[in-house]
Amino acid sequence: MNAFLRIDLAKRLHIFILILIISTFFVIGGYSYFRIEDNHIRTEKNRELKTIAELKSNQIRHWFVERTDDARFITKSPLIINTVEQWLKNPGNITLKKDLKNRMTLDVIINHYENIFLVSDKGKLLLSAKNSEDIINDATKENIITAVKVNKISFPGFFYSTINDKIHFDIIAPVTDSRGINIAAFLLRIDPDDYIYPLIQSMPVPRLTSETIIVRKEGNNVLYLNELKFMKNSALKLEIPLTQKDHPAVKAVLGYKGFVEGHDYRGVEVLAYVNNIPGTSLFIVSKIDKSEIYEDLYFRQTTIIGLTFFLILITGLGFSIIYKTRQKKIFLDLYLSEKELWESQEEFKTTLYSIGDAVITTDVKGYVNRMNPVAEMLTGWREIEAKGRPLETVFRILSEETNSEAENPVIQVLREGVIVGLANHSLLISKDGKEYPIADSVAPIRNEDGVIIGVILVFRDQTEARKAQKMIEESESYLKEAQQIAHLGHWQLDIVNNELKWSDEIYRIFGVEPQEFGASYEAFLNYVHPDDRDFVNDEYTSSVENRTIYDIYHRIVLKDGTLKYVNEKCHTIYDDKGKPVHSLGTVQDITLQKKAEEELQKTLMDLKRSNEELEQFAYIASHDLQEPLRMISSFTQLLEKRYKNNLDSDAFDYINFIVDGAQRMQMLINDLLEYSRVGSRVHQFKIVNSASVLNKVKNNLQLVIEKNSALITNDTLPVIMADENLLIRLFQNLIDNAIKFKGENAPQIHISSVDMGVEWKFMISDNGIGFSNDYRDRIFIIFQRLHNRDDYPGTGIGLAVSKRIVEKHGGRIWCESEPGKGSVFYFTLHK
Amino acid sequence: MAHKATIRPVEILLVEDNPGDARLAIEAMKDSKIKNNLIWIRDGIETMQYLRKEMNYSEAQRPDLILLDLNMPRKNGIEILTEIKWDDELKRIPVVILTVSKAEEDIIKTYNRHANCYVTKPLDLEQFIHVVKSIEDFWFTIVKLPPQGKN
Repeated sequence: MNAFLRIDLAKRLHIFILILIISTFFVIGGYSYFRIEDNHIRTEKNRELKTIAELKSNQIRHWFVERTDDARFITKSPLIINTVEQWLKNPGNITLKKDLKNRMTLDVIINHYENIFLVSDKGKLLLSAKNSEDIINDATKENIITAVKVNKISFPGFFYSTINDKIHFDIIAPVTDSRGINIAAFLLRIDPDDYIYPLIQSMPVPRLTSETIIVRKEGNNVLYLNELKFMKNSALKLEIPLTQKDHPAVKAVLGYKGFVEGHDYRGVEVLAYVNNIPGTSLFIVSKIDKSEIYEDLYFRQTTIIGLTFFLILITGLGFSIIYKTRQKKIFLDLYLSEKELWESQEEFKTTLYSIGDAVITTDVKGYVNRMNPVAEMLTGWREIEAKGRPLETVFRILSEETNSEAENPVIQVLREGVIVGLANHSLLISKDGKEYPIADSVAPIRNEDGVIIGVILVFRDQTEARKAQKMIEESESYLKEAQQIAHLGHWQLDIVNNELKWSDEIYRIFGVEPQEFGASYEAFLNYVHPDDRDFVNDEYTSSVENRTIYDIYHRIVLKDGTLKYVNEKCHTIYDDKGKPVHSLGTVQDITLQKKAEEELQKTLMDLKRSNEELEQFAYIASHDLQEPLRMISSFTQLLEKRYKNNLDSDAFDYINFIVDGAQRMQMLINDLLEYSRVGSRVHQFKIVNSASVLNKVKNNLQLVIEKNSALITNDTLPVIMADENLLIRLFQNLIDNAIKFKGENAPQIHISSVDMGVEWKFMISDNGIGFSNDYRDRIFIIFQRLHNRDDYPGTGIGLAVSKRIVEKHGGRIWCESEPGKGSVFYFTLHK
Repeated sequence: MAHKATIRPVEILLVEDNPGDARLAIEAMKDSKIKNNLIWIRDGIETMQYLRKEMNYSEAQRPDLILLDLNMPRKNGIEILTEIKWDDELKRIPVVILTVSKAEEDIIKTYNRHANCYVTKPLDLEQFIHVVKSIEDFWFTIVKLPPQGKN
């Protein structure tokens, strides 16, 4: 606002000065113009006066010449001379007198004389053209005598005749006779009003005060010859002493020619042009009142001054309009900026009131100015009631650690002028006594000049954040615990700065106290088993370079020499340019697993070897056991054959036992051989239709089926991957068993299957004698029998072989049964 | 059938390491109607020497039939069979595998090496004698054999 005014004032001054300068120019211009005009007018008037004076002077002179010529014409005319001579000689000659008078009258008429007199050389009137009261006075007589004496046409000029109270103009022309003796003279009298006065007074330019005057010297005075414009009855009456040189007429008479300024007969200031009239004793004064000249000049002056003022006024007005417009614009701008300010304040207010954090502002003394709804909610104070109160009243905080009142942060900010983040262990005590853990910061509010004008306090309820913090801390501690349990630590390698961070568990894995020393990649490599170091380094380097997976197993050696196995995994983060920034990885102590694995591996190897040995044993045994058995049986029979006549009945019994035993032994061996073969042979797994397998089995068992009137039914059976021969053996064993252990009714056997997703479940159910569930595991053991050999012959190899076949296919076999109610045998086979 | 037997006794080579089995075979042959001359060798290497008339067997007669057991010391039956069937001089001699093994792989293996037939030794004496006599009958009365000493 002030700034605006300042600008405004400055502008106003500028404009004022500008107007002043322009006005000065106008005034100077006006004055100059006036001077030029003045000059011009003076020059013009002068010229005018001079022209008039010269014109009149010429006309008068010309008139004088005319008059002289005319007088000469009369006086030199021989006829007139003769007539005058004759008449003078004969005064009584009427005719002559009459002729003369006629002649003179004619001249009067033609040349507009007032009268023409014929006078004697002594001045006595002899004859007049017209009869008039006017007579020749003494002065005129004098003039006549003088003129006759000099024998020259003379101009006594104007004179005032007291006789008829009239002004006349006289010309005297002497008449000379043939001998050259002056005999008389003509007096040519002119009425000046007839021509000369109007001539003098007439003006070629109509002027109010301009006037032409004819004067002549009359002793020590100047005599005004003509009737004056401004003084009645003045002709030949007004005289001014030559001492009054202020009069242009005086100056003229004194011989001055040209322009003069002075006072005229009225005492009025005039400008005049004075000159003599050549050939006469007259002087002409052409004058004009200065006032008239200046009237014009005054008019111009007034006009110029008026115009100047007008222009100044216009300029002022123009500037005023411009200024007003500008002012209007300025005020509009001001209004707009005020409006904007108001809007931004409104926006600030709105922002303040809708901000999610609590905000309190105070003035420079720490009294509350504003607070937003969040602040109202947390402090329990309404903005209206809090306004103007000291902050510490509204915003009461305790230090959480000491439980004592904490320092008012506003005071600190005002004192130090810096942003203060409050200790994060502050408790806000609201008006109604509630406590909120808060986090806050206080900052000074500065005006444009950087002066602190208040303080803004921003704080927020930390209850949730504390919970979250606690959760994070808990989660971190769980993570640590979990890492400890899993023996899995994590690390982060800052590739740019080669800074490695280990979680506590890694230190523990490496046999040092957590965070005992600053980890680095080199320190890590030192722990790696010397034989694995290059491998680890190469793997890691190549994984970073080629962005491949880093998942390796290697050994580490602790300081005390303990050997450990670890599994390391990591992935590397790259920046926009593809430069590796850092790797994040895990280390897991897998020593125990590794040892268990090694043991398991060893066990597996042992098992495999022992299985192989067993199979070998079974094969060899069955081969090699056959021979002695056959020897026993064959030679016993040979003995019986060759010596039957020498043996008693007991001997035959014994021989039978020997042979029977040997034969059973051989059966067992054969079964054992078959059993071992299921495990040892290389089997061909092909796509097999189990329905066609069943058909083949039914074919194989045709005799048995018919003999026992067995009914074998089946649902749709699937196609599976299996060794067909083994599958035939499996179905055959189970169906054969079902028929063999039939009940009282004819055997009914049903074969079905269920899709179990990854495998098929087969069910072979019968209506046979069944067995107690107590035996359901036992029956699958080789050579285990539930019945007497005499009732149900067989070695008890069938189910053992079946189990082995199923297991060879990766399936399971089991059964459910109840004595007298039949059995169901289940087995699964992979699809 | 008998007229052939009168010309000369048939030469049978029994390759058997088990004296019991050999004895049973010999016993069975004793009762044979066909006049035969049964030679018993119980060792693989000796068998080949005999067949090739080497060492002590320069006077040996080329057999008309070989009864070959698979379980033999030093050189087993499969090896002997292979050698015989690879030998142009010997390959026409019919070789009967007479063994206790009922194993499929043994059967397949011997036939793959051109055994002429495979017979399992029965456990029962009577059956054993019957089998041996049947072999004799089959090879010397039913089957037409290539003439001796001719390629």
